[in-house]
Amino acid sequence: MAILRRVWHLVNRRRFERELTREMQEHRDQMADPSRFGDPHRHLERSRDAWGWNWLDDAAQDLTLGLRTLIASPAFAIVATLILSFGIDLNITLYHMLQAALLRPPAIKASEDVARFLRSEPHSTSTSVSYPVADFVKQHNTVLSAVLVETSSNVGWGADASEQIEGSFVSTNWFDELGYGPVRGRLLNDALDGNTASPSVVLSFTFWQSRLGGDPNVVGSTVYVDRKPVTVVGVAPKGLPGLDFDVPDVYIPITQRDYFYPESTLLRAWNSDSVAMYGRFKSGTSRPVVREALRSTMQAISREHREISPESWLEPLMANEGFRRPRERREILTIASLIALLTSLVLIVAAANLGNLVMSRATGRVRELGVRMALGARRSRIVRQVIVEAVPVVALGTLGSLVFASTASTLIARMVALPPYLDLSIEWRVVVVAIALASLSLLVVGVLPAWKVAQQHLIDAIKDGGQDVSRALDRALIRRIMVAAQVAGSCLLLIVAGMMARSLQRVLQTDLGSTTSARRCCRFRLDDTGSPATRRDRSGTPSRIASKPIQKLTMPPSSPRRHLAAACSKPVMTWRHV
Amino acid sequence: MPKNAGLPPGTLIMLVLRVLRPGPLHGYAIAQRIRTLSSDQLSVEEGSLYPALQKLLANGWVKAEWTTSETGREVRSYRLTAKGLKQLDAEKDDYQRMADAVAAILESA
Repeated sequence: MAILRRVWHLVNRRRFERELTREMQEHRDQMADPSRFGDPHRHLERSRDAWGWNWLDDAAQDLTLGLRTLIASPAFAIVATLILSFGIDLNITLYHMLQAALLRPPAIKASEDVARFLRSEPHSTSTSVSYPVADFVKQHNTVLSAVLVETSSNVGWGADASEQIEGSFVSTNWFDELGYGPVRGRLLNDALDGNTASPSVVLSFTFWQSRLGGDPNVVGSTVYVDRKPVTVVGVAPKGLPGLDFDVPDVYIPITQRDYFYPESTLLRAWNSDSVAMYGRFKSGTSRPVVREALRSTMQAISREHREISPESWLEPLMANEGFRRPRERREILTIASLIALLTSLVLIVAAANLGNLVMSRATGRVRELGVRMALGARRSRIVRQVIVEAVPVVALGTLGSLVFASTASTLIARMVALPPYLDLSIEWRVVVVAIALASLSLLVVGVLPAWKVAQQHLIDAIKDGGQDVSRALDRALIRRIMVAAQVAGSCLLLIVAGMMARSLQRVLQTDLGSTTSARRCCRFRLDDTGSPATRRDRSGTPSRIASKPIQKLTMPPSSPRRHLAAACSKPVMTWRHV
Repeated sequence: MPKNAGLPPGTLIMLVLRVLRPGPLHGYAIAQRIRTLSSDQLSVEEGSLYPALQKLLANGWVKAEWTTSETGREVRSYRLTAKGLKQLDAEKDDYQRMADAVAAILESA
């Protein structure tokens, strides 16, 4: 209660002090000799002490003085703010990008219960599972409340399939389980889209906006996906995340895959790991329980299907851990830590540089500080003054760093084409990190110089013009340490930057053992089984698509020989590089 | 007029609380009451009275409100609260104990 009363007084201080002044005036008027009342201003000052806020007044005075000093030296203010902004900005941009792109769980409903499943065996792991396995698990398990599957591939858009877009074949519970509703029309659901003659598709918000101009009449229209007519039933919301960092343009029920690719075996091949499988844990179920329960399910599958190893199991990777294995998370954090080490070095150099500047400025003001001490200011007050004067610089630097971080994040996201659903707005954690770094900077920029300046015989500086104190400050160990930190940090950064540039140069100059000037590269689609894909032309006649781009390859006329080499690896998706 | 002795150190709060016990008083009246009750032996400096009254307010021992005095002036009166009454008892006990201890030393052989 007492603290509330004091805060209330602070908030209404002007009114209370007006009343006290009026009260004292009434008192004075009643006295036979009003001159014996004394100085009302002094009484008011002493009355303020009773509420315990005088320290705040002193700090406000110092802050005002600091701001005035800054305004009087705009060049110093701008340089200091930029130095600190840059130092803090590098660190928080790194943290911000890491947080937004890698560490923050996907923005889905109850993400703590969602896991991605890897098909694991004692000596191998696949990030995908076969669709029949996922479907079997969906039908025969007691630990998952929902199973979701997804597989992406490029699909042709338009009646002539002239444009390639990203198609995402998803289970019909995809949107419900991720917790998203439609922007237009409806999204996919089990009842309506399980298995219909004419499949329904949902467009992504970005595709709808950029490709179709946000056409409000798109719902119900017929469009062509891989030359097959489908009905657009809705538009997904803008923030719908891709769980695998993908950015689909169109969502298609996976159960309708045969409609598009009658020869595809994706829905029936038990040994073809081709879909990403996700599951939502039932309430109160832990990861080990789910792993063991699904191990039994996999053993049940292996008894009926020899192609599934009885030793295989489904390893859950939690959404809140970014669907990453502990080893992957450690690797990311190790790399991030190394980069953070370099960015923190930049901050150390910036803070040391600014600390030196502040100390130099204080050296030029020792007479002023000496006069304050001679007028009764305690040493602690001088320390506080120098620290508080540095606060506006640090505050402006922090604000500038947040603005820079926001701009830098947006630019980086554009440059590396990060998915649009990633939320790059500055969140409270970034602000907290920026304030924490600013507080550490204040130690170097404010506290160290203040402590060192206040240690000097400032009153003596009034007599000799501050020459002795200036010399003492110039020779101070802390100043030498700050200079050494700047030089060492800058050299280290230059060396690391030089090494990285040299490494990059060497990579670019590495002799591959053959010339690359007479090479061309193309890629084309293969079907689900990995065999050369066929595509039907307008008349329905199948043709090998692989042969066309190869025939069209043009080589420079100067090329002495025309060789064609094909490099095939185990297909990761439905593409192979040739 | 007898020599003004001011106030014994640390007794101002107790005396203000005590003179407020019968009923609310404004600042000038508090100073007058202390002087009158002490037969002009004790006087309160205004420079000490108002900070002390603010301390009483800050601790919730008194409440202040604007009223009209008997002479028709707008004055701010201070009224003792239950918390202030408890504080008065505690201060009185402390003072009495101290006074007894000092008296015991002075009366010793």
